[in-house]
Amino acid sequence: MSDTEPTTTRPSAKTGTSPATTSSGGGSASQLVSDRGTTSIADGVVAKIASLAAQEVRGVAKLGGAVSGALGSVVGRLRGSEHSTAGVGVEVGERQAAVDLAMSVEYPASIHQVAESVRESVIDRIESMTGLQVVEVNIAVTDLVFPGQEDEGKQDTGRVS
Amino acid sequence: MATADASPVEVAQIAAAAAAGVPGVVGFHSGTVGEIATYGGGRRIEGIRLRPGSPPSIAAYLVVAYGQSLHDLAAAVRQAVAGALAEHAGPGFALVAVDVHIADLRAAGTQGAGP
Repeated sequence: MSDTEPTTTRPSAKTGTSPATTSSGGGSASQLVSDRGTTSIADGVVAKIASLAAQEVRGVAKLGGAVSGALGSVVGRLRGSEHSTAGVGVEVGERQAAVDLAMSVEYPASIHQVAESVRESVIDRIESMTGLQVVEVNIAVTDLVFPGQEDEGKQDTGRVS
Repeated sequence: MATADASPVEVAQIAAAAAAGVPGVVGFHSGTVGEIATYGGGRRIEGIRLRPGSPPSIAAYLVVAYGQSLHDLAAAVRQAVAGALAEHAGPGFALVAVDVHIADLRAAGTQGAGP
C-alpha cells in the first residue's frame, strides 16, 4: 500500500481545514462527510455494539425477553447471522443514539448495579466506536436467572441424539 | 479517460484487497441478497461498488471487528483504498472518493470469512 498519498483528511466533524462537500446524507445510518468520501455506520451495527457491550457486563444472563429470545434465535438462524440483536432496539440520529435493552439478570446480583454497569458499558462502547452521543439507555429487566439455569433455553428436546 | 485505467472489476479487486488489509476489517458485506458487488470478466467482487465520474467514487461495504473506533477504521480504509487505486488503477483514480459503509459487526472470536 502506498504511504505517499495525500489522503490524510480524517472524517472528523470538527476539522475546519478541509472544505467538506455537503453531499446528501440520506438514510438512517449515521454519516460523516469528508472531501474524499463519506463514512456511514448502519443502525444494525449500533445495535450489535449495544448487545455486545451489555453482554460484557457480569451479572447479565442474556439479552431479550423469553419470547423475543426464542424468536430472535430462529430469525437469526434463518438469516444466517451468527449474532442476534434480540432484546436491543436503537434509534440512531445524525449525532445521537438512544438504546432500549431487555435483559435477564443472574440471581443474586444487584439488579440496579447490573443495570447501571450495562448503561455505562453501552454508552462507553457506542461513543468510543461510533462517535455518536448516547442520550439514553433504557433497560428492562425481564427475567431472573438462577445458577445452573442459564442454558435451559438451549437444551435440545431429547428427540434426537 | 486514459486507456491506462483499469476495468471496473480490476478496480474493485484492488480496492477490496486494500480494504481487507486494514486491521479491523474482517470481511465484506454484499447486502441482504448479495446485491452489492462488482461484476466483470466472470468474477464477482463482493461489497464493492463503483460510481464512474470525475473524480470517480467507490463504495466499500465492510464487516468490521468489535472494539476500535469505527471512524479511525474508516479513515484507514479510505487512505488504503485511495492510495492503492491511485497507484494501481490508473490516472483516472488519482482523486477517487471512497465511501466507507460499516454494514455489519462481528464479535471477537467469531472469525468471518475473508475475501
